[in-house]
Amino acid sequence: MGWLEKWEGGLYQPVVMVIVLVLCAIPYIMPLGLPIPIGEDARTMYRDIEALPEGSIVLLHGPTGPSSYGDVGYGFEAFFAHLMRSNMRVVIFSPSSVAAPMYTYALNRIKDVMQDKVYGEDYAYYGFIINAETEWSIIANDFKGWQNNDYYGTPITEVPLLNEINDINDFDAIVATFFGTINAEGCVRQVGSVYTNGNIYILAGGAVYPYAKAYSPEPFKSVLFSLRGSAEYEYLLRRPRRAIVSMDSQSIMLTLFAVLGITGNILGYTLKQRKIKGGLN
Amino acid sequence: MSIYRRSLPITITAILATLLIVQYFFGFGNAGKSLVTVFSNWNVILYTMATALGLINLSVIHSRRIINKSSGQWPYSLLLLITMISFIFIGLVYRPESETYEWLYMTTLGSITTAVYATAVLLMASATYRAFRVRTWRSWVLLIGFLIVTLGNSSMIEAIFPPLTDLQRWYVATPNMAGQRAILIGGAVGAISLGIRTIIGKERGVIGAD
Repeated sequence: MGWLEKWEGGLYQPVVMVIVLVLCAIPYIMPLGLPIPIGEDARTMYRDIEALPEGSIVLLHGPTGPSSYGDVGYGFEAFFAHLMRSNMRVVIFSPSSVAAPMYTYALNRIKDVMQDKVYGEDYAYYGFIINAETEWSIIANDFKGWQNNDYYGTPITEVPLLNEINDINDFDAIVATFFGTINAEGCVRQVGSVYTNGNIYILAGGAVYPYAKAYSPEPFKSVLFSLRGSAEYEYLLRRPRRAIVSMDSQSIMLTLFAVLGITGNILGYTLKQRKIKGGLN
Repeated sequence: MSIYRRSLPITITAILATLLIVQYFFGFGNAGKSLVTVFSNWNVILYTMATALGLINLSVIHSRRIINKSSGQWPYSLLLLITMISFIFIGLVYRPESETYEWLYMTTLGSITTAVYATAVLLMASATYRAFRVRTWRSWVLLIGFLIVTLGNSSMIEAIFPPLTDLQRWYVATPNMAGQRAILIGGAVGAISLGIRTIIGKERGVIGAD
């Protein structure tokens, strides 16, 4: 058995895995600073947020649970930091109980822009609502009527920012991070029909992006793509954090995947030809 | 099937579904909002009850495994119960929004789930080598689409050869979106017909009947 037969017979698997591990690790040990060209969706969102007057109220949906944090969590941090830096007032709510502790985690990671911010006035955490369709239905139809307290148990009447919201149209913009299709569906169905301001911006995880993109430019004005979108946003903010570093790693991996797809075809074809030739001889 | 197992659930489903559909399209002001709130509350209560039921079920099954010392299983069951009880205890004492809980959550569940999710890259790389073999014209289409989307999303390639990203954006915005929207519209038509069948009692899967 020649090397090609051995390789195609399964030897490629451990070799590919070692290559993946080495290439993945390089940018974390030694950041490469690969260029990140900015897409139109990220530009639109950034420009629109910058154009909002100070004190505008923005609904920020997220973050997701820990397993998907690497996909859309860094983007959540970037959006939160941008909104706080631009002196917007932000109401946050999470999609599930597993996502709620991630809010504290995200908050700790943007401490640099939170120094002079006051909870209840500049930002407030509404908590989480179980079931995607239900949460968007509540947000769209009865934001104030459904829940009496914020996440920390403080009555909404004592949280000035939350007390100010009577209707979903009191939000000047909605920024949402989605990891699963079900959340995007809920948002489209429940919010898309009643939110008249039109400023809905989405950061969609890899699996949900094609679905969410189908609803752009309406009701979703911008749909940013996963880690790539997060990195673009960090770049626009001039606030390089983990999305940009992770994007180096992701770019290398995507290129490697393409190389593997092509190599697999070339070597597979070569082996096939060799077998045909051997058969003829 | 008795009236309690068939007719009553179908009638309740039909009434509630009709009410919610009508409310969705016509609003009905505060009364409509109250209706949505009532059903949202019910939804959350049922979800929470299901979680509580799952907790009890999990405890019973794994306690039984530990008591019977099921071969190769009881140590994992013990670990599961210890972890579950610890998280409940710490959550009750410190509250889930505390930094202690967040630290514990991130260093255990956060790290484990992220690691499990990240291992997919190894499988994906290995599968990529095999999955995109060209055998028919359809597999050519698949390979070309794969290369356009993969390389177009790599910022490294974009910096070297920008037209590829334009091609990728066109690919996502045009053929992909056409396909996605076709699937969405098809799915929506299917959902409408399923909804109508459920409301008029023709579709019984919702009540567990064949």
